[in-house]
Amino acid sequence: MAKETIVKVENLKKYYSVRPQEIFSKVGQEIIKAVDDVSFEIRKGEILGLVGESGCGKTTLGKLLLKLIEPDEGRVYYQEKNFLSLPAKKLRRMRRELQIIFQDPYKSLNPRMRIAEIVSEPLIVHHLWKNKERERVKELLKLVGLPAGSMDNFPHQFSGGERQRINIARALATNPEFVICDEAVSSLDVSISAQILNLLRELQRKFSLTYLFISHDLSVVGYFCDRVMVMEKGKIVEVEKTEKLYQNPSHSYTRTLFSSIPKIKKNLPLEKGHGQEN
Amino acid sequence: MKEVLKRLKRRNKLAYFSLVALLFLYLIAIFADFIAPYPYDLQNREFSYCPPTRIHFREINGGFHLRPFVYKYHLKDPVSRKYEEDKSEVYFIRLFLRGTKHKLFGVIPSRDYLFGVGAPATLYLFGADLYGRDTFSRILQGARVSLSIGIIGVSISFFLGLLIGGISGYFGGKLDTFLMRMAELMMVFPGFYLMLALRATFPTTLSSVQVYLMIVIILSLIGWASLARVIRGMVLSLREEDYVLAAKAIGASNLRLIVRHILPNTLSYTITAATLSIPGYILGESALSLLGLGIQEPQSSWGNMLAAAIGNLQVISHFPWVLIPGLFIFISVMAFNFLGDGLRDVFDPKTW
Repeated sequence: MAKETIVKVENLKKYYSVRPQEIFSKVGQEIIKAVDDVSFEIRKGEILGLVGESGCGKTTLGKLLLKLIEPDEGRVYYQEKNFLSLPAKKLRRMRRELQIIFQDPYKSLNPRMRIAEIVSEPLIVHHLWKNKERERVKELLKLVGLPAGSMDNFPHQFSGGERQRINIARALATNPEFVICDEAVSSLDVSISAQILNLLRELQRKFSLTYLFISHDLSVVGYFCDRVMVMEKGKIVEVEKTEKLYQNPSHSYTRTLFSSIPKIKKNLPLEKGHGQEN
Repeated sequence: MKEVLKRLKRRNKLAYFSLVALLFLYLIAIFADFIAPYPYDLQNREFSYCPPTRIHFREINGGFHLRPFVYKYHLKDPVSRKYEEDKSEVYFIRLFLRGTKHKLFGVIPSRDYLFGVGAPATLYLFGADLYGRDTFSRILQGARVSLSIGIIGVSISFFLGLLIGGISGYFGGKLDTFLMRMAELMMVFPGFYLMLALRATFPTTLSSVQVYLMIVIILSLIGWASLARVIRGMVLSLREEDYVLAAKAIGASNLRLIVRHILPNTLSYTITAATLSIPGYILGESALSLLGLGIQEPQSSWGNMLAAAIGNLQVISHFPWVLIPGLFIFISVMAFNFLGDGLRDVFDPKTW
């Protein structure tokens, strides 16, 4: 199954320096390697999972791929071109192909804009569906399972799951090829998160999308992704097919990570008075 | 905008009432020449410190009139400046009458007045000042200066503040450092002394229009710094918001990001802060005028009218109506404060 590569990342780096406590002192300046020399490929049509403990640089990596923050070093190839070094105008044009869905559905929609404005913004920016933006918005809302009547409402009138659907509608407005889901279901409760996952999968099949699915939830990633990357302290330590990784993790960190999944063991011996202590 | 008004009316009656009062004051200020019964600089030394004219409906002999009328005043005691009504003849208050020549909006020559009484009687609703000028007319004229100084001053300093704060916060780096140190430099000096110092850099022999513009500029130059700092901080945090990043990921330009996503989310603060800082300009003008550095006679402003009154305690105790301009300052300052408070609630889309 040698599918073509859609995004190729080479030697991506982002370091943050933490300011020393004393104002005039350079002593104690600490460098945090949020993303440390990361290289990988994403294949067309796959769902690539990215897991790791919180603070390991998953989100930073996602934002770097789309140049939402400036990388210190590295290249991201998309359609044979280094996305990161494109001139501003070309970069902006290229952005319609690469989209992102953020974690927190309460923060990712501008509270002062109506849904129609939010979802149609990509169309206006890229001059697509000229004068038919509203029809396109209707179509998109239907696609993500929202009533067309919600177009003129404000984001705060929606629940978390509905907001995430709006985010998906916005991300898909320009028919992108590649979408980063940055913890897209982490802040939703379990049943809603399952609905959104199913929606994402359905859309992926329908439009042959490619996802980079960032999550800290190993069970969700195991269910959802074709391949999984494991990240530790800014480095990628393992990339493997999902089943293979889950059955036989080779890296020690991956094993540690997997052992942290809470499991219900059968025949757990009950200690006397255990339940009353707390 | 209509929605905002509706919400203001429903949620905060006091703020809504303040808005109505302010609109009324501004309307009066605009048509001051026509509404005021006398030109602001018309002197009538015969009626120096004449008390507010009493308006009657019933004559001394019992005759009742539906139209209000006044009696002519004459000086009874020149030492203590006591006046007495001469009740031999009534002078009805008339609408749309012709009187002394004046200039509508400062340009169109006119003789028309909204109301007044025929000579030799006088209509001093709020009394007269030392030179026998009608306080009411001077207050209306002064409202133009005092009320517009706030609006224009706030516009200039908020334009500067939004521009400088926005640039500083959005682009960051050395530019940010430079602009913010400039802002801090402005804030280091106590506002009032800075105002005096700036005033001292301008020549004292200026026309009243020049003085007016100069005061506006001085007040705006003092006002922008603190706003720029707040806006900078807000932009700095808004820039990292997910919805701004999402718009960036969509391919929106810097201008679009700033204008559509960042600045509108500072709006509730900006409008509230603007409303709340207008009183500062009104008071600033009053303070300059009080020191004789503001609007020059015979031009009137609420500040310099009050200054003329406050010079002498004897004057205040005998002729308390000279303090009425202070009441207008008080009302407008309070109204702006209430309105600002009300707007703060209303501009939050979560309360819609």
